Parts: sequence; structure tokens; C-alpha cells
Amino acid sequence: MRVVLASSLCLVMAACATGEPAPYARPLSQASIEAMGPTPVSVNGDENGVAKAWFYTEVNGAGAGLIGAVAGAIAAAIINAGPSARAHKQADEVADVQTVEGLNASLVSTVKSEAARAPTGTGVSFPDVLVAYKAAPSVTDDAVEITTAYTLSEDSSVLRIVATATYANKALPYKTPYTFKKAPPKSETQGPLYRNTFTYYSTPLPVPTLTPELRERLIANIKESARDANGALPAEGTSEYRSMQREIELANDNKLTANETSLFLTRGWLSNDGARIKEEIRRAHEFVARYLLADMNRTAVPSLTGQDELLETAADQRTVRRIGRGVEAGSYVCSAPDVMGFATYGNAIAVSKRTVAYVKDMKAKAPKPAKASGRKS
Amino acid sequence: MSRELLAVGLAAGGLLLQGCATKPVVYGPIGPEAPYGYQDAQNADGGHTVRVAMPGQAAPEALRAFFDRRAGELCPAGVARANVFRMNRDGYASAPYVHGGVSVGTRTWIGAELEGYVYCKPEPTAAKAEPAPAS
Repeated sequence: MRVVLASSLCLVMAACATGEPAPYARPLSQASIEAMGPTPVSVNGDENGVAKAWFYTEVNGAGAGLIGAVAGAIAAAIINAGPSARAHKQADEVADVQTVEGLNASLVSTVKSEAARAPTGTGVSFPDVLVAYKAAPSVTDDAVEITTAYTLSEDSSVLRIVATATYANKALPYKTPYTFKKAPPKSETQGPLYRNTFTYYSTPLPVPTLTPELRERLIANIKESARDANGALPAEGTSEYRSMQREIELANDNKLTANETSLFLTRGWLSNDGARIKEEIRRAHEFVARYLLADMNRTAVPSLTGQDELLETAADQRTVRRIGRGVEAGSYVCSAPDVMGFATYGNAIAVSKRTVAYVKDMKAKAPKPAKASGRKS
Repeated sequence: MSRELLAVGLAAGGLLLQGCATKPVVYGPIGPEAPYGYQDAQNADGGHTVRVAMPGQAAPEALRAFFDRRAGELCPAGVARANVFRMNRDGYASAPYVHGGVSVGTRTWIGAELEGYVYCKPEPTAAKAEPAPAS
């Protein structure tokens, strides 16, 4: 009976937890635009640099109690050691040519340039753009905050850049523009006054075809990655050795996985001092800066059932769309033309050692959350 | 009794199999009974947005073939320009539970989508309009 009651309660609670959806984007009203006027921009210091996506394989050994859990943990370590090491190595290589401070500086400079080009007059404008690291997560009052995520896909064919912009002001609380059958969900009764996302997908690098020569290069690369600081291969019987053997077995299976493909494609981004990745980041920042300023002066309320809008087609056929339906309605996507394959972003990211050290240092130097503030009154 | 048990077993088996069955991918518009196929809409700039949906294991070439076929149908005079801007494959990771042993999680692809723009070549004018008779 208790079990039945508990199950019923769980079901009831689950039903209550699912509220009516509303688009993630929150446009400003005309009154809010006029009240905001010139508003400073605070670029939240990026925390991951260009991260490398990879897939973490779950291993479940709990069925056999403690022994099973230990066996599962060991198996997970063996299975994931190769892909994890590979992703971290690639993140380190990318950070050597594209630093996290370079990403922050590029975004700040591009938003400043775009703000300077915008016509002066009424509406939201960006008189000041700064980069800031926070000691702990907090909301900056009365400043437009931009948070970024740079991710190389699992196979490294595509660089995805997502910028989320928010604006909160204690004097201007958010009021949902949507009507709900029942009471508005809690998420629609709080949070920032403005919010939207801007996603940029790079031009994909062509994925190589698996040839015997490529397979040999792959195996050589796996062995190279497995060497220790002295250049020695792992000793037989060790978990490092088992992990290497598993990677070699997978390399011989006539299928080039996304993780294996990334070994070849990451280098494609780095040649010529990272010219290709830097160019994509420059274009992404231009897209974010331009459409953020325009969107903050736009009052149209997105709908869950609208239609996508094509806003721009560049000379190279790159497009900018405003998503028209679903919870992503109102968000902006800048896509490369003639996409030929799938790019996936796994369930884990690898961050370079250099980025981790830099961000740790910047956060240690950052002011305490209570002191963080937007424009001075 | 054994016949009844057999009937119940067969019915349960049938239901289970139905649950596992994947809808076949047949070229045609997406609808309530057809989760896979194409969907399109005319855009303000004169082009069309074509979306193709298939099961997760579908190859990119299969999605592209549906897209090109639909583009050809939308543009009887030929396709002037096509631009595939999105190819997505959605999936989830699961860690199956195996009693008494270790099980390794699997990755299951649940759906693949392609979306792009199609612009048609102008239709040749069918016949020149007859001049109006002089009054």
C-alpha cells in the first residue's frame, strides 16, 4: 500500500513539475527600451576557452553491489581514458593558438565597434563594454551581460559559438507577456528582463575517409598519446596499457568514430597560426554584436508556434535566421551553407590546462559578488 | 487453459513488437501518421524552406536525397539554388542495468533532421497574351 501511495505521489509531483512551456527569449517592451537607454555591457569572462566536446560512456556496475561498483568504475576509467585524454590534448593544442583572453578581448572590441556604428538617439545603446570575471555566479544589476561558450564538435568538424545575453534591473522586474491556462510557471515569474541566445556554426571542415594509410596514422597517434613523460609506452597489465589496447582495437574496426576523426580535423583549425579558427571567431563575434544590439531594440514577442525568418544571406550563402517555433523561438542562428554531415557535441567537454589556470587566477582576483554592479548612478 | 495462455502470450508479444517497430521511411509529407518524410513552406523572399526527418540511424545522403527530390517537385523549371543550413542528429545515452555484472552504456540516435532553402528557376512564360482586339 505504501509503495502504491509513494508511486502515486511521485506521479502527481511529476505532473505538477511540468509547467506550460514559454520561449526562452525575453524581448524588451517599448517602455523598457526607453527606460534603459544607454546601458553598459559586461562580457562575462569566458570560463572554458575553446572547449573540445567528447562523449563520456557510462558504465554501470551497481548490480553486483560494492564489487560491481568498483568494477564499473575501473571499466569506465579504461573506456573513457583514451577519448578523455585525446580531447584534453586537443583542447590544449587549440588554446596555444586561441587563448581565452584573446576570445574575451575580441568580443569586447567587436561589441564596442558595433555600438559605435549604431545610430545615436533613442533606444538601447552600449556606451561602455568591459570584460569581468566573477568570484562566484551572480547577476550584475543594470548591465547587459554576455556569456559565451565555444565548443569544437566531437569530430572537430564544426566550431559552435553560443552567446547568451541577459539584462536584469531590480527597478524593472520581468512581467511575462504570455498567458497561461493556469498560474504562470515559476520560471516566468522571475529572472532577467531581457534574455536571448545567438548561435554561430562555423563552416564545417570536410571529414576524411578512412584509408589504410589513415588507419596507420591513427594507431601511431594513439601510441604517441599513450607515452608517458619519458616517452615510454605503458607497461603490460596496467590500466593505461589496457586503455591503449582498446583504442587500437577500435581503430582497426574499419569505422572512423567522431573521436578518432577529431585527431585529424583539430589540426585543420590550427594550421597557419590558427587562421581558420580566428576567422570564424571574428565572424561569430560580429554576428553576436550586430544582432544583439538590434534585438534589444525590438519588441516582437516570440511564439511557440511561429515560423522561422530568414534575416540575412551573406555573399558566401551563410544565413542568419530567427527561430520561429518552440522554446527556442526568438533566438538567432548563423549557419554555414551546404552542410553535408552531422556534427554532435557529446555529453562532456575538455578544457585546456592553460584556460583552467587563467580562469582560476582571474576568479581569485575578482571582486566579491556583492560589490559587482552595473552603471554608476 | 493452455490455449488461453497462448493467446494472451501472443497478444502481449504482438504489443511488445508493435512498441519496438519503427515507422518505415516512405517518401512523402510528414503528418500525424508519418513522422518521417518532408515538410515545406513558402518564404517571403520567394524561396521554400524544406525540412526532412528520418530515424536516427539514417545516413546524411538519405536525408539529402529526400531534400533534392522535394526541391525538384517544388521547382518544375529547375532548382536555381539550394542551401542546406542544418543537419542534426538527436540521441541519448543510456546505461543499461545488468544484475550481477557490469554493463556499458550505449548511445541511441532517435532522430535525424535536415533543413534547407530552395530557390526555383523562373517558370518559362506559357504563352504570350493575345493582343486585345481594336475597338
